[in-house]
Amino acid sequence: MDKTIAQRNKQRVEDTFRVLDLMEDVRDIWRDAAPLQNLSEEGRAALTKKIEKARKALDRIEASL
Amino acid sequence: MSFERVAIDELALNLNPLQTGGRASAAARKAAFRFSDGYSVCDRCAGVLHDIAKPDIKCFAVELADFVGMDRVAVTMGAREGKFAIFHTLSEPGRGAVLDANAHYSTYVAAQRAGLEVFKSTNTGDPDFRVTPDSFAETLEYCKSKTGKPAAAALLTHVDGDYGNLNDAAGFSKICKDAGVPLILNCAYSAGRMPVDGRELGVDFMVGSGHKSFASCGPVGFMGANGEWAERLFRTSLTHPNKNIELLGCTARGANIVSFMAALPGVKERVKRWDAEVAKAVRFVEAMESLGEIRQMGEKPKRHDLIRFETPLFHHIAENNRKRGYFLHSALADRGITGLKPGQTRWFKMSTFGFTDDQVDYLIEAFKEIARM
Repeated sequence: MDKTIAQRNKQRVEDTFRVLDLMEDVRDIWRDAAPLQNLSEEGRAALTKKIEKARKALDRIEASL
Repeated sequence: MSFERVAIDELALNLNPLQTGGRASAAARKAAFRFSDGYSVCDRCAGVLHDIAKPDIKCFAVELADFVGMDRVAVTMGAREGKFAIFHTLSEPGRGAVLDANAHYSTYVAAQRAGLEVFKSTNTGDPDFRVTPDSFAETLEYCKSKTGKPAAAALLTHVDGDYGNLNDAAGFSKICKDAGVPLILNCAYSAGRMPVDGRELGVDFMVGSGHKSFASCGPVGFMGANGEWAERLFRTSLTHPNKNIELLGCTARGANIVSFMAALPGVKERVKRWDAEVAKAVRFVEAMESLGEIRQMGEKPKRHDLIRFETPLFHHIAENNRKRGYFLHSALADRGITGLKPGQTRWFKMSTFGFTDDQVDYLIEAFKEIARM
């Protein structure tokens, strides 16, 4: 396989797992805040960061299509 | 076909003691979805599951043995599979197995499947339901008198699933040694939640549960042996010399074993906080009993997170509630709390393990509100 294609494919899959991993971290935020899910400032900041990172990974996947 | 789970831990506090210690950590869940294909750990297998280096099951088995203080461990599909394997190793025709009075049903089934006659010790009854070393010694003696030989094995449930009583395993171990009977310690509700060291406790065998107490996806667990017993338990096949007989060659070989591996570092940290977990349980019991007509059953003060309550208070409310016995489950569900059996009001079991202090406060307030219904 062409090296560029191999690298692209690897990046796509890594980004896919990155999104999944980040969403698992988000699940933990919900779990720790259940059942009311009233997030503290720290919790909200952590959640926002996870979402931003996931969005970047999704953007990279989309851009590679 | 629906795959929607009844209790979603992101939305509700699940009090079921079966669930709290096995709530998979993020690390365990991340590992699990990487290895969700059937034989996913077997890509680099040379024939022995516990020798696989990628993923590093070989190191994990050593690390786990060290963590629980056993000379050798192997991953099983759960504690009950480990119990059966050990009973089967020790079983001989006409021999018996001595079990503590609070043993789980799967302990009986495992011993019976291995061809052993079961001899059950007594407990002290209401209110403590404790298993005493004396009753265990008497049962060992009774088994010997009935079968003509010492018991082939004795099994002590380290923490039972009915009352959450913590047994002094070292004391029982001495009694079994004096009687010449190998002791199996069932740590399904202890190892992974609290510090446990099999060598310190003097046990010969140990079983534990990944899905009950190691924050892992299931089904998964472990069995371990100390000293000369390890060789017997982990004997190999004459026809296939690299295959363990009692493991049927291989056991967990997918998402379950890697989630167990991934969960271990977090579990090692959380057992250091065991005193805080017990304090949480004690605080919760005090708050519940202050409501009146509620009594914690089993040893007091609590030394474990599994709590059993007798709750005439809720039973009396149920008698005058249009939902009758279902009112408690329903009232809890309305407050984002789950894990109790629908219809149950006279008594229930629950666990505070892993909840934050704020979540425990929330639970206390919720039960207070319900008590006023």
